[in-house]
Amino acid sequence: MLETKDLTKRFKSKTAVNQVNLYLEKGESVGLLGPNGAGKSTTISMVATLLPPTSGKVRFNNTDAWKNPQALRQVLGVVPQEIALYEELSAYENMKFFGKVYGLKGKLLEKRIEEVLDLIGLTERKKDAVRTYSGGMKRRINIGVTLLHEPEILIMDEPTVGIDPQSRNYILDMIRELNRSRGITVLYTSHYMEEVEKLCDRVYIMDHGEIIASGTNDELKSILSNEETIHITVQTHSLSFEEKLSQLPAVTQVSEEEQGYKVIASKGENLLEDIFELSRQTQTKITGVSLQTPSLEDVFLHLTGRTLRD
Amino acid sequence: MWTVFKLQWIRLFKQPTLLITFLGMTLVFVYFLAGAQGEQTITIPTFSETLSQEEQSDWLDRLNEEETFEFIESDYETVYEDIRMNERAFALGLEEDRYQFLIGREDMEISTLIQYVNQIYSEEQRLEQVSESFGIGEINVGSYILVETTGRTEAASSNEIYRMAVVVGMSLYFSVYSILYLMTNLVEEKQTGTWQRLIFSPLTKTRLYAGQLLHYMLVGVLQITLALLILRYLVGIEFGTNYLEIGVIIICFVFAIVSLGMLLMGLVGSPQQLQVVIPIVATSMAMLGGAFWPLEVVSNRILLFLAELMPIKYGIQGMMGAVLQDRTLSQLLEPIGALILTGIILMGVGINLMERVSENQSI
Amino acid sequence: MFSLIKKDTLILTRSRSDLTELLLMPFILIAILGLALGNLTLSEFTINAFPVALVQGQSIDRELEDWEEVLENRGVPDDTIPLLTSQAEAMAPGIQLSTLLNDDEVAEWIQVVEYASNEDALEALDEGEVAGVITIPDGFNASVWNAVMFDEDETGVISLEVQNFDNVTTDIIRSVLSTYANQFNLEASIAVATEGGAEASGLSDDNYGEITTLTAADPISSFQYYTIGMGVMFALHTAPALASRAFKEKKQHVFGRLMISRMSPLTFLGSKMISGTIITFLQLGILFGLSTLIFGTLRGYPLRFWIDLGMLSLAFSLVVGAITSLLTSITLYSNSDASSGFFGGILVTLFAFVGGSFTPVEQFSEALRSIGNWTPNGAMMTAYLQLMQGFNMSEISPLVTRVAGMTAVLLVISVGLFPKRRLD
Repeated sequence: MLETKDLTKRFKSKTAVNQVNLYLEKGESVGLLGPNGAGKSTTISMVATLLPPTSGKVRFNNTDAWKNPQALRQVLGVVPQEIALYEELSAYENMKFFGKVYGLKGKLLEKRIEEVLDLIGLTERKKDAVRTYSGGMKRRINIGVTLLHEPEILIMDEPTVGIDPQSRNYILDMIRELNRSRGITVLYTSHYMEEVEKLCDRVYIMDHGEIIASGTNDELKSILSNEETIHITVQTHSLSFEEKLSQLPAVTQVSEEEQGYKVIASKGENLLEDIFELSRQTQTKITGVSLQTPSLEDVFLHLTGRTLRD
Repeated sequence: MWTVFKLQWIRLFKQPTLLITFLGMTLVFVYFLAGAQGEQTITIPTFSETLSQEEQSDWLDRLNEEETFEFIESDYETVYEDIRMNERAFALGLEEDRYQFLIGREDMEISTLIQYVNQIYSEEQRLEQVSESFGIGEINVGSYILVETTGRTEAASSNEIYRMAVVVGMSLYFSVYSILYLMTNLVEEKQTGTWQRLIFSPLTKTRLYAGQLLHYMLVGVLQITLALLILRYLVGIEFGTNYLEIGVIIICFVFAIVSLGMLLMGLVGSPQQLQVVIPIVATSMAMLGGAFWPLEVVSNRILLFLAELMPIKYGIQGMMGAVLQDRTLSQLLEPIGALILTGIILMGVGINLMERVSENQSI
Repeated sequence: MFSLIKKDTLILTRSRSDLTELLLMPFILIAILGLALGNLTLSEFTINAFPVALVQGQSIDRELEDWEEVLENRGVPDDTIPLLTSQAEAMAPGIQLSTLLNDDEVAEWIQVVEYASNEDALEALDEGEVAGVITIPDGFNASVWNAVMFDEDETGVISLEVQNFDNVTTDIIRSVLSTYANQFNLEASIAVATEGGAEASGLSDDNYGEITTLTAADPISSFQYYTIGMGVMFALHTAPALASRAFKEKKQHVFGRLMISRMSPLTFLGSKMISGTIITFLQLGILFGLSTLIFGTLRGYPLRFWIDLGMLSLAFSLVVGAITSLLTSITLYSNSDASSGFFGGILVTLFAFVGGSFTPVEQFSEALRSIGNWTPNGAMMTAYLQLMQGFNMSEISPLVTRVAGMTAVLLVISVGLFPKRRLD
């Protein structure tokens, strides 16, 4: 129902988003994954008709969204990265205002406010100024305001930045609930792998303004299907061991971890034997070895050679 | 649009300190301005170290024959102290056949004053000379010729006009401050992201801007009205009955200032910078536009040209026209037109800049 | 403490636009002032010649004819009529006046435009084409002649109609006219009293007085006055500008970080005060320095004066520093930028007004001036003016002590208000 075609945005000489193509089917939950500065926010700003693209198109139900942004805006809910609320006003007052902006009024508005307050668990604090809320509560009301007009598409820009794990789980559960049982289409941006893995059916991975991979979780991980990840714990780090490891023909990547190394290598070779052999040669004592199923983090590492949080 | 408009009011009322400051300052400011109404004429303290009290008061009578200035009796010590403390700019010392001006700092009135005193001294000298050489007694000076000055309207015939201009100019200047400071909120909304939130809502930009700007305009109009009401009912300055004309001028002026605000908000990115920029813009506009001193004393052509560009000049001109010269709307077309034109141009440029800035910001 | 001050200064120097605004923008105002008022001095001020309408009544020939008739009717002997008529013509004030108005000296100010009818002239006045309308009515000369020669109770009235009663052009026209009228009245009275014995002489242009100052120094020019006025006002603006930066620090959690680093809250406040003081001092220094270099504002004062000026500026910088810390406290306490920004901005304007930065307030009321001397900027402004008038430090010091007292009080309040617990 929503798709972009060669979406590009240039700021002066810098290209922030380059020829991005993505689509959202009704009821889907899609993740947009990438490190800070990858162009995620810019991309969704353009999708949300906030920022005009330099070139390329945003299509909503097969019409150009930028020609008639109102149609899209009416069904769109965008949760910005900042707490974009009037902090001196109460949760209730904020909701009332933004609800009216979306054309809700009277009893319907009151009903919706009640429902949403209940959903985000802030009914008891609704009369307090947002300024007095904790970080997690601010995040929840930030999302709540967006849900008032029952959007069909929910675009969220890192809605869990900087809050405690408990609030974060609350929010993630809430989004999943909205997606699964109410059929709201979700576009979720994050640089937290676990969140996207947990929440999304399909994932786009962005880096340097471009989409470098896309697909379902499994599809993406199958990029790594002929590779495996091995964690080796050692007693003491050894430079020569690390060097020799990376020289093994099957190994594609070695990175240092707290108590050892993470090795990505082609499947099926007799790798473990070689590793133990090397440890003997370099007199590095291996205290443990574990094989791990690949995560999106590994996919990203594989694709860019960098970790997401770099 | 009305939703946005209403919200801004709710927010204003949610900040009691802001609101109290706003109202309180208006009251205090106008009250001080009202102090401005205390004295009708320029008073000049006089002292004498050689003349007797009687002679001094004779001189005072002679000097006070015309009503432009008021000469009052004082003594050297008081005068010295007043000038030292900057409470007076000058004083007049009287002697038998000479006078002496004691000046701490120059004043616009002083050259007229010196001329006046000198003329009286030379007249007295001449009369004395003649009566001595002809051995006749005191000569009565008849008034064969009289100069009568009238203003075009009744209100214009008082001595209050200069002060009226200052009161009006200061009130407008003060409102410029309030409007611009309140408009800083636009920049803040962009920083907190509520502005963006409204942009991707179904609300059109036109309505968003309209709601915001209408709010600031109304605040400005209310403040000027409040100031005028205080001046009218608590202080008793007459503003005539041209309510329609005064209203139109106020609205047009406020429109021009809100537009100026848009330009500033577009040009200056942060509330911190605005803290510095607003006073500079407001003050230089007031100086150039003649809110502090009459523009007639300015002879520099560049400055006179710049004055033509200042909305406050037309605001004052229009208000004075409506209040003192009893002008009707059609006679006030020049200031009204100038204000609206400035407003439209500034608004256009301002909104464009705002939009350009936001094009470079994502969520 | 020093690291904090260093940080504040560093942040300011990094953001060049901020620094320019704070330090150099007041200079723009001084430049406007210099150009607007620089040539407005005591003895002369220039004003471009402005047009004034003149409406003359009957022609002088016509009036003389009428006059002869009047004389006949009075029963004046036929042979004295020509004498009296020529006397009348010689002293006809209408002629004298129009000669005077077209005189070169007057023409520097007033440019006479003759109008045939009063209506046309008034229309021109309403259109703003002329600054005033001088009307010499029909029978003006006759009234004067009657009064002078026959002691009739008549007066010749010259009427001046203007748009505004109290502006500079009106003052000039009126002063030209009334100078003439006074002189005529005087000479005519003398002529009557001495029965024509005293020779008519124009009033001598002698000065019967002198202009002196309290000390040997020159009086303060308008330009100097406004330079000081704008200087103290903008120094005062530094305080809210810095306080709002403190708020930004809080927003960015730098403040919280500083607080948990076991730094005393008072150190934070103290650093704000010192930053405010330093920046104000620099600002004043640049202002006075540049203004003197470019416009010669304070040229010709001895070294001693500059040292004293520096001391005064230091005292003022300190009070601005104290205000900065007070506003910082208020900002952090109320957790809002807007109210303190608004408060600061508007309050500064109010103070500046009462303190006399915009216009000498004593011309409104002396009470206002006395109040003004109790504002930090007003007191300092008076102190600066005293210094420039040549008073010595012992006479200036009461005001400086007053300002120092304010500094102390402000500091105490700001420490009291400073939120010691709330770090969020």
